[in-house]
Amino acid sequence: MTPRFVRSFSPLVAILFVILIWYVLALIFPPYLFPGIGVTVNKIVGFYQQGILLKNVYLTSIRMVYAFISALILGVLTGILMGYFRTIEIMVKPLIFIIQTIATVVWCFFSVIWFGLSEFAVIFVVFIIGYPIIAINVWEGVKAMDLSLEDMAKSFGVNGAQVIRGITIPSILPHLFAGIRSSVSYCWKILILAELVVGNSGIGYALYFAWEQFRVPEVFGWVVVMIALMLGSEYLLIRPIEAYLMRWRPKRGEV
Amino acid sequence: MKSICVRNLRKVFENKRGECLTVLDGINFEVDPGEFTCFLGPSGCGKSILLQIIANLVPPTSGEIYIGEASSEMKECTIGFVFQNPRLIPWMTVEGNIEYILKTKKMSRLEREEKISGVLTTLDLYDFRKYYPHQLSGGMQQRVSIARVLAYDAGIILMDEPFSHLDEITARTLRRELVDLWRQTRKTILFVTHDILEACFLGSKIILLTPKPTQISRVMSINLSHPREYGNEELFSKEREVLIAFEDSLYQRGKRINE
Repeated sequence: MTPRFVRSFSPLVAILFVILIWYVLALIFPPYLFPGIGVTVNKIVGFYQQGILLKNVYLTSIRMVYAFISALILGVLTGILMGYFRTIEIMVKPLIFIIQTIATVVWCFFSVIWFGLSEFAVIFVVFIIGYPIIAINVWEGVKAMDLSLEDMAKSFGVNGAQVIRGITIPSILPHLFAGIRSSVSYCWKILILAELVVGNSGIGYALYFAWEQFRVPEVFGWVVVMIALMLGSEYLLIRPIEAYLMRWRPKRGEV
Repeated sequence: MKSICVRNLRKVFENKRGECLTVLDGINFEVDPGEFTCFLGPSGCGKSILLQIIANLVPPTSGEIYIGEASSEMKECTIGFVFQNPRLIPWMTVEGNIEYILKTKKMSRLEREEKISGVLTTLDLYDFRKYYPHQLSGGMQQRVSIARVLAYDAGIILMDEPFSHLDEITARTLRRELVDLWRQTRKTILFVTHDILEACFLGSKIILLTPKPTQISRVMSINLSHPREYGNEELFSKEREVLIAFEDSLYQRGKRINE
């Protein structure tokens, strides 16, 4: 058994390890190739003083929220419908696979062609990447459901809405959260790319702008901000919600 | 008035190649209110399907089922099911599981809570009301599922080999408890099993089923007084009697195949 404090600090340990490697690499390479920690932190403080840190974090996050929430809602709906209705499954499955095979850059191009260099174009690219991941996971969740519980509920005359709330949704939760986690981490990465290709603001665009001018410490600064956002969404938002919703689950070594 | 009346019940399954499999081949029986009826038959004879049809979970191919009297109060007509596996919802606590099915009834929150703590006390589960199913033993889980059916206040309780997954010692305890509950509440119970001694220990009537295509081969009444005791001479002689009849009913299929 891993001691409790090691488990709860494991992300911190990982971060410290990365910082150590960064420190060593920065000693070896010149700052214009691999800027050190101090320089990078200075740049981030600089972003804050110029007011572009919070502005870009806000812009990027809000796009993420719009894109991801719509991918979540539509993905869950699609997954449940695919799981329950064979006809929908047969019709939608190939579409989802086609969406997944198209490269992200191609979606960026399509998005610009259809929606111009707009806010919506960025959100669309992120949505189209996140949506199939959620849909497929939920669909698998419905397929893997324990039907005997539904039968039990029916034998006691529990109505359809109650069955969905009490049995269907909780039983697909583990699959849904697996989908949410991989979908969120993809979406962040795609969002940076989309902002870079399609957008004219946000962290992705700022990063691109710094790179074009070969201001490497600024590039590093934005990357660190990006990583902080991704880790924050995972450890401060998704994991606590998941742990709360799955609190009934047997813990290892508890039974 | 009969509690359940089944007339010419047939169930035929058809597979994708159009082949028909007759599972129930003309079942007729009646059950009096408050009777404890055991259905005894070999594995795979369609005992479970019979209960599922009575519970309206599976439609029959033909035949009629009358439950209670159309005019009698609804409570008499409600059916509760105890399955082979407890079928508890793993993310709900013991009391949550019971509350979930009570929400189908027009009860106030307070009435529900009273009902739940009442049945949990009866079944010695009150201290475990906040536990999740995975924290309970198999026997306790099945007890929760019996508590659930009691709380539901069904006039008729269908039980599909509820003790077959338990070890014999636990099963005996639960059988005794079930008999006590039945004597207190006088519910109509339909109990499916392939265990002859279990049927003799519990039932006031045994309905013997033949192998597929299933028909009723014999109806035997068990006139032993409760509480019955394991190791009791009368119970054993009854068991022998039922065993002989059971062997006969296995042979009846042979006769039909030879015809």
